[in-house]
Amino acid sequence: MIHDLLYIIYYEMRETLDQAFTWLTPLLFFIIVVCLFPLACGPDPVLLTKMAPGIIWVAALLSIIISIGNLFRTDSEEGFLDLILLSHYPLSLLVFCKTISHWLTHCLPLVLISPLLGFLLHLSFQKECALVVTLLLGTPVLSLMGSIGAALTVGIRRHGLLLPILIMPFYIPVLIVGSATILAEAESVSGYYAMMGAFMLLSMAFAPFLTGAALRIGVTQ
Amino acid sequence: MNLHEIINMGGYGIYIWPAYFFTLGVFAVNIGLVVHETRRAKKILSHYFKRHYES
Amino acid sequence: MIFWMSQKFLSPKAFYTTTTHFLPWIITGVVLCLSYGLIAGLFIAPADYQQGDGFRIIYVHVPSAFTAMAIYFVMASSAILVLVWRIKIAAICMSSSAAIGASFTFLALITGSIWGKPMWGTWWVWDARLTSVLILLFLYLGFIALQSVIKETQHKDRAASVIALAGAINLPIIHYSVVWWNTLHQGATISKLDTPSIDPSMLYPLLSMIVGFMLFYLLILLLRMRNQILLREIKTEWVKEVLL
Repeated sequence: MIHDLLYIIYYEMRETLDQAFTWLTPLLFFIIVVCLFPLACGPDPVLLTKMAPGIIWVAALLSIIISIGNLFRTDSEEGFLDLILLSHYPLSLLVFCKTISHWLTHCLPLVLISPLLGFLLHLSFQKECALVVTLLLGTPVLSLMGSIGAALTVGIRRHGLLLPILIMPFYIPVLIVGSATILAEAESVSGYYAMMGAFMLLSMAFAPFLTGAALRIGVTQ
Repeated sequence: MNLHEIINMGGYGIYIWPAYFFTLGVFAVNIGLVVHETRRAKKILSHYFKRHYES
Repeated sequence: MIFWMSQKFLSPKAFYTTTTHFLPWIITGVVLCLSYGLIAGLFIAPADYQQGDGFRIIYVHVPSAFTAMAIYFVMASSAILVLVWRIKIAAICMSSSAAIGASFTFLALITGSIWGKPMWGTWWVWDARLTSVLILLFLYLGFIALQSVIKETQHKDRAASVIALAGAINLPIIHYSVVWWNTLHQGATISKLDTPSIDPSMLYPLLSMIVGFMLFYLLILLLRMRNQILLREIKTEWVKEVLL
């Protein structure tokens, strides 16, 4: 069974990485949005250092929420969704594998390039390490909660910005704690990391089930 | 208590009365929405029954 | 007891006929509670020692915040009924409550902001309770947006239930935010287990206003549910008889 699930992850990743368009554009969007802020707010290093954690986190959030909408698109267009629902593997497990592959192809590049962007925004080395760790802990939550929204909107044509509007209220706590971790003092920072870890574990435990339920609802129509 | 005292409310009147009028507004909007919905529903239902039972 | 209640309320037709008799009583209750609350709260209750007359905004702020959270609780409970037992009346209740809940959340934010200016010196602060109530407003609006996009009734009900249920986690966060975090917003005035920290002459109008707001919600909910029932059950015989 593990072999099958790993193959699913590998297959999804191959599909995404085949065309540069699918994995490159969210990454470029992330980079461009981060670069917009120094251009808009002025190049003052003091200001940028203070805002950098927030800017990078918000840009990552926007990039992920745009890319997660396509999680089930190819499956629903090519009719694989019914086969997925009929398979003998638990739906939540299959959905979890898809989310893992989404995280590997869309979120991991963001995490890897964030130190460079932190450097552009004059972040200190310590804060850059904190940035990478919080993004590592936080982006799985964003992928998982976004997958719930992707499953809810899977059958709806031309739903526009519905997915971001639905899922943003759930992203807000992660955003608040994630950027607060980077700005936190050394004594209290372990508590913030613990909360980020808690978010990650909770969403890993519950989000696949909700996504599966939402998929079943969306497909039986 | 005379009218001036009531409007002033110990200096806080400028905060209290707008808050209460906002509340009144929200209540009025809710009621208006329901009335509008009821009228619309009655119209839809009367059209439906006219079409299906008199033709 | 449950059997009696399900007889009277579970099927759309039974719900419609049963609630026809309730409406005059609820309207009376709303008028009585709100008039006592307003008159006693605005004119009879003595001015507060610290806040002077400014505390009187409590009589609209606390009821609207309480109602906003209670409505979301009703919506989340109905969502469970829809997802687990596919009860149609619960779906109708859920979709009718959303707009009312959004309006009360908005009112809570506005009255709270107006109260904050003289008390804390600022119209808005990004502390835990205000932020989580703002998130509650976004949850309501997202729910309404999702409902308006899906056309097919059963799909709409079940998809909206998922999102309503997912957002229910916000309710304990709002309620306990003043306990868990050091915030500007004051703590709970009325607690289930303690004697209230507020004088009775100020407390009774407050309770009356809370009950009045909840009865108003009930009134608007029943009226909206009745309209929805008529439209959803348009093809049945009893709807024709009700209208003719």
